[in-house]
Amino acid sequence: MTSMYISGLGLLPIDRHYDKSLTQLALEASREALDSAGEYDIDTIIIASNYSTLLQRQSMLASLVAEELVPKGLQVFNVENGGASGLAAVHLARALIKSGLSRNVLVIGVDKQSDYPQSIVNQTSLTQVNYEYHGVMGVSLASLYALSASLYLSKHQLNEEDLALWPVVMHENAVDVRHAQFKSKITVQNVLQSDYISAPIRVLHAHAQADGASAVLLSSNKKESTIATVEASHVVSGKVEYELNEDPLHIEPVEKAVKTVLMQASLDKNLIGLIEVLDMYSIGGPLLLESSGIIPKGETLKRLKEGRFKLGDSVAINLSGGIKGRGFVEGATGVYQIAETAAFLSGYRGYKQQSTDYALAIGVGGLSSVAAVVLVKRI
Amino acid sequence: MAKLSIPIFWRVRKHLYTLEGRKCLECGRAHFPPKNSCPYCGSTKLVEYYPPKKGKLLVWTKLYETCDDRSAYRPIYIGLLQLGELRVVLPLTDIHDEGKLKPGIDVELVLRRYIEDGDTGLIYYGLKARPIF
Repeated sequence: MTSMYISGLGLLPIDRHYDKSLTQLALEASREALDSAGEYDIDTIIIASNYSTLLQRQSMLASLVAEELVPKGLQVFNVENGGASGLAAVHLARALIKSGLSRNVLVIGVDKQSDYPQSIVNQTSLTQVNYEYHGVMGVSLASLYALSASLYLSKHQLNEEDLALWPVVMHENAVDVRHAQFKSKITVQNVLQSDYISAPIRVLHAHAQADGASAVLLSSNKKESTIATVEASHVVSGKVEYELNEDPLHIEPVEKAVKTVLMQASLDKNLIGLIEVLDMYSIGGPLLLESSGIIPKGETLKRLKEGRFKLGDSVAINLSGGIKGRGFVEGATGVYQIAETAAFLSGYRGYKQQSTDYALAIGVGGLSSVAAVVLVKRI
Repeated sequence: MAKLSIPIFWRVRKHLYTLEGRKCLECGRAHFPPKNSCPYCGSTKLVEYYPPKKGKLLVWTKLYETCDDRSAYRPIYIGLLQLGELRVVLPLTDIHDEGKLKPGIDVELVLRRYIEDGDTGLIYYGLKARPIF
């Protein structure tokens, strides 16, 4: 299987960047990635963004960025696949490189929410459900994750305290991640005292509004600056409507995408020592991990309670701090996930290092609309 | 962002007023919202399926974080229901005693207001579920 090399990383701090536009954020992350990569003749730019058209009212963002970055002209694409946009963009880059149509692809993830108040962002996020039905009913993504959280806790005889441990561990993990939005610790008590968003999901289970951009340079050839390879990737569609899932606690496209990725790489799942998973509203973590087949059903929160999944464990999960600690930058998140797996595999520029050869990045759009999975290998 | 446009709501009104779904003649499964082909087996041999007006509550949540246009109704109760062969997510209404809201209780469909489009726009109606105690 032809590898794709990761040879440059850009990880902007996730924050409320009131002083920077969407394009500026994308350009800063790109320049950081290109500077770390050295001399590269990029021939393709793919931008992953979920809200650029809905909030910043900017379509064809990749052209706007290319105008300043590579004025001579090159192949440009914009990818929108909800929370899976970034990983889907990496998958698309891999397809272009494997086909020979591209040699050096710059994948940029960028999104920006802080230009608008929370109520407008909430209204926009209704586009992540079937808008004509659930949108008009006011059924938001948070409420669907809340239904799953209730079902999960009751099925596995767990309680809110068990679920509260997830954001606590995520905040701990983010303390030494320099691009993370929150580097402070929280307690189970803090989580349980925070207001409900949609019971049993509370404010401290959810991401805060965030702006950010991440970029990775993906190439067909190995260079001096190469820090990891992309060994396999896949994107699978699922069900947009929550009620169409056979089992609301099983995200079928995640299972299919992980299976395909492991098959592509002929890899035993037990060799994966690091996972960056999109843990929407905390419950997304257990749901995706257990749907992937890597963690047995009902075991994630139990193992977390036993102190598992930390740096140095046989499999470390979300060393970035996940959506709660690192932050959730919508469509850009997947590109952060890829850059983070490469950084944590290699100990890149002072990032902590997990001792393993393989890392998996798992993302979804909506709750089960689409899954994207990428396997990254240490050099 | 604008609320639903009049033509969009007009197209789906029947589905929101009746929960008209589809049943697949190949695999026998029913689904909502209605699709042009079965989301389970892909067959296009589908017939209309109207669920019974009474069913069971499977699980529920109370949503506090809503958009501004729904602030008058906040918090909103939302449930996953089993109505005959259909499983649907719907807003719940007439919750006078939250303590009695438990998985497995009986619910019935009622026509209620979903949202108003300002002072001069449309009032969007649709089905909600209320508990039968």
